[in-house]
Amino acid sequence: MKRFRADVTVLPKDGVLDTQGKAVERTLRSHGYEAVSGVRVGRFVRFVVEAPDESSAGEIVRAAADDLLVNDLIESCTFTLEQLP
Amino acid sequence: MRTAVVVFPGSNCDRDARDAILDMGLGPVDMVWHSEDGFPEAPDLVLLPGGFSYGDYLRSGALAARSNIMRAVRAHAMSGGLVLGICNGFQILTEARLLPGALLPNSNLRFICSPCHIRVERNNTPFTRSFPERQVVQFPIAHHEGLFFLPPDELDELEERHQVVFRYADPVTREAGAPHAPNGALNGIAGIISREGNVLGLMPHPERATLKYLIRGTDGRGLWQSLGEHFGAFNVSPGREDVR
Repeated sequence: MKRFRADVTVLPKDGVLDTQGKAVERTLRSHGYEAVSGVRVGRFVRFVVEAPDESSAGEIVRAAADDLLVNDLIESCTFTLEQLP
Repeated sequence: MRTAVVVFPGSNCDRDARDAILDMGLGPVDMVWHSEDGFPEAPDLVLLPGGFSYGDYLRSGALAARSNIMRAVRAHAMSGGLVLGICNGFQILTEARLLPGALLPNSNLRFICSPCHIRVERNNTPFTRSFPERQVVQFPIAHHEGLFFLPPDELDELEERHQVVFRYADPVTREAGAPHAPNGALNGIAGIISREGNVLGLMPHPERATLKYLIRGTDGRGLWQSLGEHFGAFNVSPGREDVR
């Protein structure tokens, strides 16, 4: 078995009201960061997966995201896997 | 009428709900811990109370929706049994996909704890049958994630199927809709019912507008009255009101 570190990023879907993102963007811009736009505030989840290879580790991460980590009505996610020594 | 009130770690309206139901003479009420496999006795009504189950970790209601007792709640709902989710209970029902939609953070990003007026949009449900049609009632709200959201197409379908039971309203003009929603809820939606008409979720708290010695009225009694009538509970002599 190999060990992989999964980094999962969950963000509100386009079209879903992201009041936190809007508030953060407004505050950033009022602090002089006028170059900033399109702020979305989401969630970052990191965990370790044991699997025979990277593709089966990916399947486990996807299943965990579908089951719990992501509410696919309002959120979408991306993830990366890195094999641990 | 036998009610099972499910208690999750972080529930804080479970006893209020029990007291409201008992005050209406609608016992018995079983308090059921979330890790149980089932109910001690088959309930007529399953109630998911308000609170902050699992500290609102991940998403409000997300962890509670996957707890052990929810298999029994789902089975009860699937067999046509009545389920009522109040506030966090509504959030749990959407996370469990027993009701459509999601509850997002309030549009003003604040926790709102306030008296609140809602209009009864449907009185042909077991939960609302004793309310006059389109009556405006006061049930308090206390939540941070109460902005009801559905993508536009699904929202239209929800409205076409008349699944909206409660809508935020102006107590004077009796108009209801988005402009009257304190939390930014789409179409001013405060409570919805399943397509089959047996699962109801609402953000406002009827159990906080039930006991006569509390301030701010007793409009919530209409909801318990409806359930009691639905189950014929007022037609028999009152039985033993034991609480587990």
